[in-house]
Amino acid sequence: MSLCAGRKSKQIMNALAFWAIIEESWRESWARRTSIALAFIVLGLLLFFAFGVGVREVEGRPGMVTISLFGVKLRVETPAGEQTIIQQGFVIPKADFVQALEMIAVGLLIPWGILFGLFITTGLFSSMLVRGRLYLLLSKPIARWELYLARYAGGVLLVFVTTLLFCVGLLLLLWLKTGMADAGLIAAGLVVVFIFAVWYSFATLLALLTEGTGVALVATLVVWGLAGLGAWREGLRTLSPTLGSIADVLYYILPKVNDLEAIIMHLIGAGESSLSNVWFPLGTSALFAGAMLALGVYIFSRRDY
Amino acid sequence: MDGHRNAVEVIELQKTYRGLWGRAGVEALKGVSLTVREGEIFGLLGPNGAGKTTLIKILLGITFADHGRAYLFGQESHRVELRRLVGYLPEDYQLPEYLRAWKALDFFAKLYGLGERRAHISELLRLSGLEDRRDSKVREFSKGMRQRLALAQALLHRPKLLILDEPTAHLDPIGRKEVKDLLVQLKRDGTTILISSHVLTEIERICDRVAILHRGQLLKEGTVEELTQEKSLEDVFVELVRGAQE
Repeated sequence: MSLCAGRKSKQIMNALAFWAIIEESWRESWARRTSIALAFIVLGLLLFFAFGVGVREVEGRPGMVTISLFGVKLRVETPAGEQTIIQQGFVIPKADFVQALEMIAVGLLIPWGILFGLFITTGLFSSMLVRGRLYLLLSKPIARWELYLARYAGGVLLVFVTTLLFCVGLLLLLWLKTGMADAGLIAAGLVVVFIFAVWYSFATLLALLTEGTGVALVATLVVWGLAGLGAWREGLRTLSPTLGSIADVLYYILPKVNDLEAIIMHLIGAGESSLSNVWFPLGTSALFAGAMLALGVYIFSRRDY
Repeated sequence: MDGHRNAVEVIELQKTYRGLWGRAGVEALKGVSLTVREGEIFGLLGPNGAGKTTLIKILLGITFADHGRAYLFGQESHRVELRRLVGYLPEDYQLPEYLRAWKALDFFAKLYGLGERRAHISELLRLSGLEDRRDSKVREFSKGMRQRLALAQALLHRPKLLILDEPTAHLDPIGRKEVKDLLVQLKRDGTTILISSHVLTEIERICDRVAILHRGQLLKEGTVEELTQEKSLEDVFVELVRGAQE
């Protein structure tokens, strides 16, 4: 092998190496069975909805449906609380049913989907830092920043694909059962992946610093909780101006979890009808992720192994 | 590139592993200078903690020197692109246990950016005596088989410089002989080999030149013939190390 390869062929070689790290993250996650568990959960939920939940149009009442669970008719709490009892069973507007189901899906993704995703992917990231394994990787012609980012990208891609499968699968089933499909669910899924990517950037930094998964995960959850305080800034300020100031600082430094959740609810039509500022929470949260990744890459590139 | 005579050159290399909060820890290298010429087999000898592995890690950019310079083929050794010329077998390695043997080699080949891999991987598996276990998962391998696979991953890209840290550890006598023969064959093909080993007889038989390190200092560097004119390499080694301890 020569060093005199052209610039283009070097770029191809680097791209191949970058993709190999991503691919290996996937293989490892399958080998650890955690991804299989995740796939089973997603498949299980979709199968449950496909075969367990029955939706039937009510004759003579367009746009209204009855819901059954394994053949047993259900009383469904709709977002608007609308419900009409007629002889055929419990009846709700079809649109409300679709929205309710989307809210359940989002409720599963945040926080449980993200938490499970963090649990799987942070473990994958830490495993790269095991010494004997790292020696083999660092001695290859791939820069440390590429190695770090490729492993990060592998985790994000894993959660992206799983979330997309879940959302697209649910959307298809909804369409088959009700004839209604709300593409907002896909957009909401993408924001969920974005939230995951933001917290994963923080978890990978902590995994790098602690060289373990446990502390990194716990600390990420603690900071996630602190970020949630941003929603109660005004309430905290009335309790104590100092608490209010602390909440302000946390709000501006940390990802805007509440605002991002509001965007998701808006996308599935369940939240506020209009959002005053979408780009501020998205932009500042992306900045947070960028800063965490840059710090991680900087530390990883300078550390002795 | 090919005009350089030295495959490896280190000049006044110093490395101290810092303790907590930057407190001075272990001085792993105290100004070591040595050269490995292209096409030779160079033995790095020394007791545990001599600084052999640290020196190798600095050459590969795994660890960074505090002072001094390290060159591979005349270029600063930390350059990532240089690793296309180097194959490395660490003393402590962990192969991806969940992959099959050929898939593990395929993964490492991709890291080297190799395009056509299949035939070359098959050839390496044959050379390593693992041809009939190509579809077995690494976790099912014995220590000796893992060692052969780890050596194969270092040879994937036909490196100009092969750095081996205890290459015959975990191998039985037949395996050692095979590795030794392979190294001699690689040397004939023009590969430069830097080998760190505790097995002095092995070093004595295959190396052109050796360096003896002790507690981060270079005690001696020279050809095997020079060092073993009156005594065996083992006696020279023990004498030098004991002398340095006193």
